[in-house]
Amino acid sequence: MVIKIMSRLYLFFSLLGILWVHPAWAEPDQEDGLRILRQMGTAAHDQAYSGVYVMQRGSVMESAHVAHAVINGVERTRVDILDGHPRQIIRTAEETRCYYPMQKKVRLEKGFTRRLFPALIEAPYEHYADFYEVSQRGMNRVAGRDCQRIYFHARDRQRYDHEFCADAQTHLILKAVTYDLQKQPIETLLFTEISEGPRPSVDSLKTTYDDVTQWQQVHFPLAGGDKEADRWSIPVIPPGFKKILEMSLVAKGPSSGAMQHWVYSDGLSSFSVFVKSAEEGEGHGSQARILSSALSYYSGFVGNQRVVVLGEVPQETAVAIGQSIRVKEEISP
Amino acid sequence: MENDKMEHLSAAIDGELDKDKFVALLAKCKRDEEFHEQWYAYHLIGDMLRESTLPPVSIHERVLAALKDEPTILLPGITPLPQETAVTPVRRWFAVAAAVAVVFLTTAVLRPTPPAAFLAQTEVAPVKSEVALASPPIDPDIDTFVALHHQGSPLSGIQAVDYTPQTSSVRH
Repeated sequence: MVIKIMSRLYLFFSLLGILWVHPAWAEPDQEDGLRILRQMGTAAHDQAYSGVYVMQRGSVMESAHVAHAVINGVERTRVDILDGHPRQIIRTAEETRCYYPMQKKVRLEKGFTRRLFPALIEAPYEHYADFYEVSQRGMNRVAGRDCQRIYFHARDRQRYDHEFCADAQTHLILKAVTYDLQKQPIETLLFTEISEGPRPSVDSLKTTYDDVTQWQQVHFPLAGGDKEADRWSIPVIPPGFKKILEMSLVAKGPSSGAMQHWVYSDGLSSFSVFVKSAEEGEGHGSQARILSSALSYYSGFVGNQRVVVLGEVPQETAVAIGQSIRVKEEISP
Repeated sequence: MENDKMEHLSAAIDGELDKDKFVALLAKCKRDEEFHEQWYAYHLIGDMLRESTLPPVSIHERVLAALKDEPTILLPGITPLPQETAVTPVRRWFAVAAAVAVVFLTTAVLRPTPPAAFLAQTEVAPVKSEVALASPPIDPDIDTFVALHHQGSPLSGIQAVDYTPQTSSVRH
């Protein structure tokens, strides 16, 4: 009798298991997934909205007000950071300007796509499906609105999972969460209030700082760095991560001196690689840790050069990347 | 006589029967099917009481010793379980749990894995021993690297524009 019961149960659950492991059932419908990604991506650019959102990363929490509209065919966004020192971001199709009134400084970003919440998903949407399993996880409520939970499950352990909650009506992302490998949230962005109308005026999307002509202007990204980057090899780059920025700069602050800075991103996460000359008396050991800002950090040495890897990737990934960095062998002409 | 045999059997399983009587009992009963059933039942009861699958060491040793003398008799024949004992609720739930566990294990093994291209690149080199993970000295440059990462990443620090001196880095 027991054998019979076990046999029937095994058969039943085996059939369930086969259905579960079959690729056609394991993967959500690809077209459906792409449609959702496209809706989330275009909603943030095409619609007019304004609201307040909160972001929490590690032990850091800040809030900001965002207003967005497409006026005369030009997409405009303004972000005001509400906590700490005042900061303002004005973005148009051509450039992004970051205003630092305390420093009387404005940073101009051209040819560099900085993603502003809730515009976190960008084309090509197929790219996401290559490295994440995209699936719907039911409904939730954020800022008093019903939203659809969309889960991005990393296909490998070299990147984190992400979850978005998209407005059921407008498809705007109302909440974005990044999870670590233990499925604990390490970064959360969510609207506490949001409205779609009336459409913000052009003036309301301009900077509130009147006279910035005397402010220091810093252009970003800094040019240079490509030749130095050619000297270095990083064999262990997680699949899907592309180099999106390379700069040669002199950092101010405690760490002075020339350094190389390269940024890699897979569209949802990014990490930086820094290379600089080791300072005299600096040890040659390696260290790795998770910072309070939820960033993974690795520091090591290649010859007399110090290499640092820092970003929103698992610590093991940061260590593997850092330990793989090598100087390419000189090729004699 | 029958009762004596069963008492001896019970004493043997409890390790209370001396060696000579034990060997004699085995020799006498080696082809006795009822004896085989009782042998199995007594062991089952003993195992349940002790929550162990092993017989007492003393019996085990004595059985091994007896095996040398009577190599053909010591394994009782395969005795089917009585139906009444087979269909207890506990056993039924145990069967359900076992079936679910087997299915889970087999499907976990068969679950689709990332493409080979992924696997080829997803092998992360093990963390070398010289990487100090426990309370290493604080890197004085960490804030600089974090600020530079935030200003250089399109996603990290996307919302906050860091108010740090490092943001005024200049071209080298």
